[in-house]
Amino acid sequence: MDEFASSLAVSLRVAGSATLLVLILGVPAAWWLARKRFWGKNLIMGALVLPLVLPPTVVGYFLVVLLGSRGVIGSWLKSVGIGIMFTQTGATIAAGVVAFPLLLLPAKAAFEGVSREMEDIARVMGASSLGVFWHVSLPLARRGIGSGALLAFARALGEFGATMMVLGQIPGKMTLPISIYEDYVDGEIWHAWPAVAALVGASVAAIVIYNHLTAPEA
Amino acid sequence: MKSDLTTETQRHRGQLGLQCPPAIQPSIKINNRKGTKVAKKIAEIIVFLFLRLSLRSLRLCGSNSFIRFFATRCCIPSTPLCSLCLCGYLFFFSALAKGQTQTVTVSAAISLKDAMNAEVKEYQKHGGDTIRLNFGASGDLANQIIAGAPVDLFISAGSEQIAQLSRANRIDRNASVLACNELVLVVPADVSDGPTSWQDLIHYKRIAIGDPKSVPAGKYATEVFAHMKLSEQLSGKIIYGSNVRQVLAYVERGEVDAGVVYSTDARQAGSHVHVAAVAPDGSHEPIQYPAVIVRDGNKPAAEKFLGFLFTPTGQEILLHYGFLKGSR
Repeated sequence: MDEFASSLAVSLRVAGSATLLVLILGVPAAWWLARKRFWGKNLIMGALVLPLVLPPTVVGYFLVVLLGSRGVIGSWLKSVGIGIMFTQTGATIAAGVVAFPLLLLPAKAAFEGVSREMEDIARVMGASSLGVFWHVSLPLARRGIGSGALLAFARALGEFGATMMVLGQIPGKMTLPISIYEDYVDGEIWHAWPAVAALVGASVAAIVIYNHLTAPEA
Repeated sequence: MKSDLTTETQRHRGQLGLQCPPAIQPSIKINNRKGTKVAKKIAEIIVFLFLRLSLRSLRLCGSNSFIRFFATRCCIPSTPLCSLCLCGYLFFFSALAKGQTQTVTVSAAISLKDAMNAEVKEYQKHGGDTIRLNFGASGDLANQIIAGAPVDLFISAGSEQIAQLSRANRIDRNASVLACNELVLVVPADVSDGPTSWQDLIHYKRIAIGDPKSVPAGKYATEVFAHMKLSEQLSGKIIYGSNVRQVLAYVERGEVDAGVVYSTDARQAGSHVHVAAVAPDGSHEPIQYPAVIVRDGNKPAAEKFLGFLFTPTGQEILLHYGFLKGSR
């Protein structure tokens, strides 16, 4: 049960910070992609959505190659004292990359659904472009962003492949999905039931809230 | 608790009759497969003649008005019908002919990977059966076998997995020790200020070992730590690899300060890692590779391959890869 409590804590921390990371990067990106036109937009869009269809182990591979201790970015990060491999920072990045498209797509759709007239009115009334975004677009797109964040959180909570490659198996510091796999390979599959129950519960809750968020407004 | 565990494993080892260091192994002759090759050729000829005959009889059938009526009513022209039957025959007989060649599935501890690949190459050169190799942590492999994986021969890196199989009633004979090994502490080769002894480890942050529950190398490593009275100081620094080769990979890539692997693995990694210390005798249970025939498997073929592993040729390959001699 101790193991379960510690993995639950690790999982919530990783999924929570990954969702935060995805929100901070994803919302402006979604707005930018929804509103601006520029050369190579489809290419960037494709690259950002790619983790949705890419096997998580491939994402993990790139992360290990780039951010590992001998990687291009990893060796530099190590020299300034930031560890990626076997740390929750690394796990957060892995889960964040995989969860990113799940926020980006609904958020982009929500921004596209915000009427341009509203934004123009605000602009005519003297709002700066940041003001338009903050006071008009963002509040109008909040449902899409909310449902996207929820999906991203659920995905990050359940992420296994990329996280496993970056975080590894450190006793007492595993995420819930990794602890389930660990119990399985150790031949103690019944030890995994609290983790399984927690993840099933979280997923069901996510779907219920998602349905509630995306239901047509009365 | 600890002593209980040791006495239990000792009891298991006693039961299994494992011994190390070794005695001289009996040499076993490998069957010449020329005979089966001839049989295969004959089978092919018979199939061919049979097909010619059945083709003719099918053509005769095609001229039968009833069949023709049936075929046309069902919108199946008689020629495709014939070829369909032909395909069926072909399939059936090729399957029969295939049954002549045997495949032995061997699940082996991943530390044996390179040595076993070489063994299979040599075995094939001597005209042996097809060997399908499956590598992994011994604990994972044992679990797969208990769960019913179709494995004929199992070579573990520890006796605990054999005991597990015997408790699950998946083996019916004693294991024979194929080879022995040593445990070493390795550090990345390009790091100059790495640990130089087991005691040194307490000054470092990350030490990789195999997951002791499923990886024998990890279990031996925890035994060494306990023997050196380091367990407590190292408890927050351990990272588990899901098999011994992953531990080695962590060290090779410089992701950890040190790792505990077998001397054969360190040798395999060549210049990428540097051996900092060898586990002294008696600091852990002797490292043996028990091989055992799995119940319900292809026993004679598995026995033949196991026999080959104990021939001077087979043992020489193991020695070449740095393993110590085993005993039958």
